[in-house]
Amino acid sequence: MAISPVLFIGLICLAGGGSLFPAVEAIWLTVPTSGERCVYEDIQANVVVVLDYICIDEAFTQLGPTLDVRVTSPYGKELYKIANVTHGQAAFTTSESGTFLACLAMHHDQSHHSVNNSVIVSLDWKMGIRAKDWDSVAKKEKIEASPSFPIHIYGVELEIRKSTEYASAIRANILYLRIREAYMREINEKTNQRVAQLALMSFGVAFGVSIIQVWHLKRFFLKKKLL
Amino acid sequence: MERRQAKIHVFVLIGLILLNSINQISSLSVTVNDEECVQEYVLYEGDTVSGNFVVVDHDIFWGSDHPGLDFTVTSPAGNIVQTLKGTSGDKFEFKAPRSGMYKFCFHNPYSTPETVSFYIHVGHIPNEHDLAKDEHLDPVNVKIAELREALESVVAEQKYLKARDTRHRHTNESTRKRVILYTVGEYIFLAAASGLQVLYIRKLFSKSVAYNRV
Repeated sequence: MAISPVLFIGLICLAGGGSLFPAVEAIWLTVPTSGERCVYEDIQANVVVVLDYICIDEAFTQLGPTLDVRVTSPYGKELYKIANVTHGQAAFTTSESGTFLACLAMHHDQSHHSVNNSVIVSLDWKMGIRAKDWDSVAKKEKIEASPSFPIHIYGVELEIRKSTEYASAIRANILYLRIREAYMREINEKTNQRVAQLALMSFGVAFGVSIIQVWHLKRFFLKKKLL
Repeated sequence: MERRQAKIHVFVLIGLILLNSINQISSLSVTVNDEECVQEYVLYEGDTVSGNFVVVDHDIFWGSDHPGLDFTVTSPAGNIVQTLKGTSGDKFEFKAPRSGMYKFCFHNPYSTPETVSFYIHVGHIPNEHDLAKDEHLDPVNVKIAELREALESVVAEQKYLKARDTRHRHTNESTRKRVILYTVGEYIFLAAASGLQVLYIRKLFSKSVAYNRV
């Protein structure tokens, strides 16, 4: 199945993007023949995550060697594990917040495929609002759209709806960042107070220890009848 | 003080309510041992590639500045489009001279593995050439694309801020731990030093060792 490389990549990008303008967020990673390539992602709880991956050989002409993929939660629980596939999709909802790990490794006994000891894999994480299935929203809305609207205006309406939702999501993000910053500022102020308190206490400890020292030596010398 | 506490509690409450509805801010993180590369495909020539990366601190012991990583962007033709040396986090943006697979590489000159959290975005705005080619595209699509790109730039900035915030948080936690540990160690050392002093002086005055020396 040898297609023009550019066309192939373009098709993949369009399939992944699914919008009027193929804005691609997929990262292409090289996976070595032996060992795993892992990427981390810091995600909150209760977020829908969709992970698309597809493996292509070095010449960009066809689907390449098969992969083993696994996705682990921050506490080590295996959320998705599959072996010996060339492409697929992992979808899950996160139950706790933390660093999630996605690891890709080449399936063993594929050595006859690899050219330069590595293959290229496209990895696309889509989370929260980006995982929203706009096609189904478009289909649903089409029934309710006014029949007097010409078709190309309808496409524009969907794009504007997307942008509106992105904008409100951005605003929610900013509030979240502000909360985190307030929490961190509180910790900083506490540390500042703690430093002052501990410095004072250190002065007190030094003073107390030297008083005990002098008292003990005085008692010792009196006992020895030297003083 | 009480009012500020209450305000912070209100913020936390709002945050917890909003947590279910937020757009996910996230940046991909990779651990760089020596050199790690990520590739991104640029479909059209003239696209703006923008992004940022932040090195999340591992425990730095003495120096106050992070040694930093080297960041290089290589075009599909093989020439280097952009280089940033010895930074611990930066934003970058460039116009792609041609379409193809661009390589973004992080190089770690030191032996300790570092974790980098990065975000790359390729943005395309259709121009008159695309409008002429495709009859389904309207001039209004250009405006929508510009709107989308503006929103994406805000999202990129947020991811950068969040990554820096995470790093800041690591530094804070490390500071807190250090303050407590070093102070308690200091107290113990002080008490031990004075105890040893007392013992030594007692030994000097004991009968078995040259009583008349002192």
